[in-house]
Amino acid sequence: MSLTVKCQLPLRHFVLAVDVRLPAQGITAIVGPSGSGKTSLLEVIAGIRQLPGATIQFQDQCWQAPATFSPLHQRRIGLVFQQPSLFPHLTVEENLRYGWQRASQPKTLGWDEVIADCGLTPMLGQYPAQLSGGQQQRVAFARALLAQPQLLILDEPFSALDDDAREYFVSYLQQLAQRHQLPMIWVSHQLGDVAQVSDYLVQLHDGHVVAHGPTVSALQSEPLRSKLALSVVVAEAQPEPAGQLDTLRLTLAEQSITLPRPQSHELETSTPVRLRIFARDVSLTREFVSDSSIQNQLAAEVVDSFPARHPAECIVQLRLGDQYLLALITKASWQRLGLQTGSRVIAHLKAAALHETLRETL
Amino acid sequence: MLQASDWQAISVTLQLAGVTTLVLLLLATPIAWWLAFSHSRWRPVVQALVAMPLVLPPTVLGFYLLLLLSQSFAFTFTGIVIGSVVYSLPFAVQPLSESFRAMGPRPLAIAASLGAGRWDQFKTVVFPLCRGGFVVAATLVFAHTLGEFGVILMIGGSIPGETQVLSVLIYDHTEALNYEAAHTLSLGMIFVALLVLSVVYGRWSRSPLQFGGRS
Repeated sequence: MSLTVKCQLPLRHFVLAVDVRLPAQGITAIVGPSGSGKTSLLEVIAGIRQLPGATIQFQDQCWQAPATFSPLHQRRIGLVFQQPSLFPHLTVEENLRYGWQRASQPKTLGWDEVIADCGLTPMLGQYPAQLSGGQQQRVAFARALLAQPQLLILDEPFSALDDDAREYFVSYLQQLAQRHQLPMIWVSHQLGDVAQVSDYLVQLHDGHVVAHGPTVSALQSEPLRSKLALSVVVAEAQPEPAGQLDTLRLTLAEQSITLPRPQSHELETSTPVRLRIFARDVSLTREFVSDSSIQNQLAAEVVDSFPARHPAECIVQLRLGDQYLLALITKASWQRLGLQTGSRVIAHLKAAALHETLRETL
Repeated sequence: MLQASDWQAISVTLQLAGVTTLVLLLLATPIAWWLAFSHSRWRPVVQALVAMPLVLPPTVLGFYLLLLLSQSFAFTFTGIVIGSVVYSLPFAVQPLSESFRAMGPRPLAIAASLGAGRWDQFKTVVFPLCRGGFVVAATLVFAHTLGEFGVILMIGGSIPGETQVLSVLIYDHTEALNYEAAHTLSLGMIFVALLVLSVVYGRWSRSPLQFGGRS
């Protein structure tokens, strides 16, 4: 189950040279500065740009090889761009039907379900020009889903949505990837979203893949760890004592943490959940402290430290069992606590910064 | 007021303009498509070739076409159709190529990703989005062919019922000092030209249907 991409494409300032094997399941995020070739790479994968000599293999289907090229309309790829690109001469419903009618049976993504999930019922009869940018993006996303794609390619698909709506659609992407086994390649500048939801990360710079790997470990290696200063850890929900309805107890590396229970989620006991933890929300002490507002204190071991963006700060990499966590502290604190590789420390997690980011995982 | 020979010339003229328009829409569409989307270094050369009839005297085109067709279609209706097609090529290619460029390649990629094959994309996306370009191209070609004179005279002569079109007939009437008939036909042509061009410019100035934008 993989997507192999090999291509050489001269662009204005550099050559897009990619030779990479990506998982053809879950969510693969492509990150990189603007103008690093992300959109061009998506176009090559989709076959919008037909590059001589490129190789694109999706699972057992050869989409492009030196002697073959299967056109985009046979690849069953859902494309969603930042520009919603709705057909202006068709109503919302006709736009949605365009792909739906041409999709092969049987359909796994239902008409009513997708329209309800994307909140499109009130606007079915309208023309794209009557909709806001955010509404157009929702229609474009639903249109791609209704065509029953086997791969979803997303290029900043939710840039025009407000924070709440974007949060909702990010969760929805995760559901689609899990329940419908729909693999996705997702380009977004919202690194927080991408980092937390994706299973695999690819970093592009000037047309080259500078780093790629499973998200959790890619975030702990250069160049992403100093750039994003963000960790993703997996914890397990625990049964809550009776009466405790507003908190949620999780086990992380055999230690316990308590978070405000997210109102939007129903969590089964022992469900693995993913937590996105910014290094700036983690502080360190040498001993457990009892008089802090921060209840979540985890024993950890210092494994590395490296410079942060601000010259007076550094990022400390901690090990919790087999998982890693980053903490942002000042260099003065590093000295004062007498830290070095191998030091035992207590990491303090600010629960309020975490619970909104909690998500179920596979 | 009009003689039988005048009606015959009107009929030949309308047939010529109609056939030329149909042939050119079929021929110019792929050329305009290529010009709109190709990155080939030959593009300016092809563009120049297509625009040649705009700058060359009709006698130059007519002369070479006459040499080319002398063994086959010279002095026939088919001959003047070929001449008209060459002569009006830029009037079909330019508006089509403009409208294809305004649409851009994105709608085609989206349609393809939604499962539409090439012909399907053309029918359901290109044609509706570029309808204005097709209308302008067809009207300009039709009107331009009505006004054609030099090329037709060179390769068609003036055979009544076969190659004698209105412009040539007006020339013949004038030569024969038959000013009244020349007047009637000329005024008629002025009126038709005014009508057709008003329709074209009315369309042209209307904001075209923008992809993804407001219409």
